[in-house]
Amino acid sequence: MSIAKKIKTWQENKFLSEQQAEQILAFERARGNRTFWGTAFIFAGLLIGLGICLIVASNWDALGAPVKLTGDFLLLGGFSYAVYWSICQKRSGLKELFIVIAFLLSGASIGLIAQVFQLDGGWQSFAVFWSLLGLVYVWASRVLFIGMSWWILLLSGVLKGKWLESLFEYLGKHLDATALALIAGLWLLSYAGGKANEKLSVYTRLAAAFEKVMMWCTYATVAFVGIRWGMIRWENTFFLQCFAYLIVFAFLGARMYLAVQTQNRISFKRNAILAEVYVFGIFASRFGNLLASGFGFIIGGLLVLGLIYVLRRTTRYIKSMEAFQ
Amino acid sequence: MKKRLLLAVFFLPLICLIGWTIFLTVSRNQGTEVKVAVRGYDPRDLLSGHYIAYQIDWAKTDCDQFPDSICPKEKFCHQARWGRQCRFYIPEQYAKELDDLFRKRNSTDTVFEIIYSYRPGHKPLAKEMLINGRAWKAAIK
Repeated sequence: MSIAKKIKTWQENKFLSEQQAEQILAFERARGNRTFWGTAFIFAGLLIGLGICLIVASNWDALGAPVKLTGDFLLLGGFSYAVYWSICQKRSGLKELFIVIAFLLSGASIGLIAQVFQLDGGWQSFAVFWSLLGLVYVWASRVLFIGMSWWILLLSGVLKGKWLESLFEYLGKHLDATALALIAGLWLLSYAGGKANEKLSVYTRLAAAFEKVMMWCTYATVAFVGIRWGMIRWENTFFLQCFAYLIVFAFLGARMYLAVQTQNRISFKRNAILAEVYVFGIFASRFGNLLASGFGFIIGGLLVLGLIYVLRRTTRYIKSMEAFQ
Repeated sequence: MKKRLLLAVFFLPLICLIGWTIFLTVSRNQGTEVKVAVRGYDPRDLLSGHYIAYQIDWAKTDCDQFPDSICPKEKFCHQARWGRQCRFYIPEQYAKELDDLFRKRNSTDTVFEIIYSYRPGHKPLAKEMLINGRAWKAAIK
């Protein structure tokens, strides 16, 4: 239910006066406008920053190296000052615009220097150096997307491609305690990010961004395990398939439970939808043994009904569910 | 004081980059020029911008240019999947022409060489690419 409808309901039940209702609506509209303009600024910043990166990458021959370097440093200096100015003037939208451009420009500057001096070195050294330089701007951003991009850049530089390749190869061939440990480890990292954010959110949103990135990695790993072992049928024993189902549903069930505890309706619905999509995915993959699969689905449904019956008998959980109403 | 500190923090990346540029300029100018023969590196990996990926052909390189007449093979290029790989960045407008010329070098007997600035104990820096003994820009015009 939207905030406007909620306010109308509260007014009808005499919990709010007309004046209070108008004040709340005006406040929420102002916040919404800031969100709109902030998003527009970030989008513009992305386009401009990426455009600069592309121009640098083209290695434009019309200008000599000294001119290109001087122009680049002047630009970076200008945008660095612009970030400082927008913080001092409390212009949050412009601040995010300048942060995005300065961050991308710092990467473009590294690329330009590498071109001018013909430097070797692969993506990893470039990504780590860019992350270190870019941290100076990114820490000041209040936008999760920018923080998440920074973390992904840093992790792509620090984690060697060979390790990730070996990890996926391992998960593709083994479903065992290591896979569970990986999922648990990623979830713990996300939890640690959330805890750090409670202390640091006033200063920076990097901890919240880390929490989000780690949670995405957890979901990606669970999805990989669920599809590779639960839906792709060749080489998989019945036990391994059931184990994969257990991992996916236990994970999504735990996420739904946590969403109830924190009264996060969006998270609850999202995880519920993912569970439903996975059920359909399993159904679509069941073309070898229809009879056994049919019985399996019915038993699964009866188990869910049993769980609902147990929950309805437990007052504490019902009170938690009522938070969504 | 707090504002000055904030300003200094935001200018830190610029200062680092300027310092790095000065360091590289000094390194390149202080080194001795050495000429090395190059051959192709397969497969190509065009990550960002345009560049020619190559390996150094030590068999065709005069090692007398280096101290004690020993070619410092480990100092050049970086280790990649199929051996040590170097890059020479080229402007976009010449990329296709140079790419074709480089790929057909064996059939057209075109000799590619790179001039490096070399200093013992430091990473060599590529300065110029030669095609049949001429600077590449002059050679393709």
